[in-house]
Amino acid sequence: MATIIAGVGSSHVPAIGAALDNGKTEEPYWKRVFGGFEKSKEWMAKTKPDVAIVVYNDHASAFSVEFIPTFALGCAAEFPPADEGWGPRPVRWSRAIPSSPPISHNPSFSTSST
Amino acid sequence: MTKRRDYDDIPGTFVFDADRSRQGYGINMFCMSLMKEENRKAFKANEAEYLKKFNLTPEQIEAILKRDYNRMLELGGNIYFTAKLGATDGHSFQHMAAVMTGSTQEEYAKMMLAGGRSVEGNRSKSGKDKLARAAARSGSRSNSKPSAKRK
Repeated sequence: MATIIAGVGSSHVPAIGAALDNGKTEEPYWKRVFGGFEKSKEWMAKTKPDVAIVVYNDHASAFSVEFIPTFALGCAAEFPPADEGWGPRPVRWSRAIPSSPPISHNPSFSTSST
Repeated sequence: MTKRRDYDDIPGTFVFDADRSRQGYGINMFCMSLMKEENRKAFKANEAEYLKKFNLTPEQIEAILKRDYNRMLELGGNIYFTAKLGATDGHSFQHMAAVMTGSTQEEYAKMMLAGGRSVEGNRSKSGKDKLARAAARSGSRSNSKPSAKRK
């Protein structure tokens, strides 16, 4: 059996991603929230969990008003960043992109959890 | 258009419920289309023409063309969708939030850094929360004078 070792939470306002992309993390308005992320990053780098299960709400990115499930389980091999009107965020996500670190999504783990 | 609900009494916003979702389907699907670069270009090239592709009322079209974000919410828009219109215009979310709260971006940022908008004076449009709380106070402490401990 696997052991759940921790849960790490974060505010999820979309503006956080934009602040990161636009180099605003050191501005007084943002500094506190990004300072908090540093602690989480250090902990994750040190602890190195085998699997991270990412739970988030969908801000009209994958789902529109056509169809909105209350819960959905992502089972894809890759999840590219959404284009929320600015173009997709320059998040390195895919093994297909050479500059990207290999984030190993695990579809068989996802489907075996159902 | 929508049925009166008790949460219509919340000041400063319009609660997105099932009625508004049905009403604003066209607004939100239009906003959703802006997730594609080619659609953003087509919209910017001729906004009124592009909007014809969607099932929108004249009021909704007017609100979109004028970028009246609060009106869009009133007519069934949802912020996660209308934010894509803001992004298409090159506006940050902070800019949009400032516009929607009737303040400048600087004032809005200052308010958020100070802990956000105070709930005091912002609980109710009709003031019925004050009546309810006063009634609760006099009911639970029937021996005390109601005016004795007013702030």
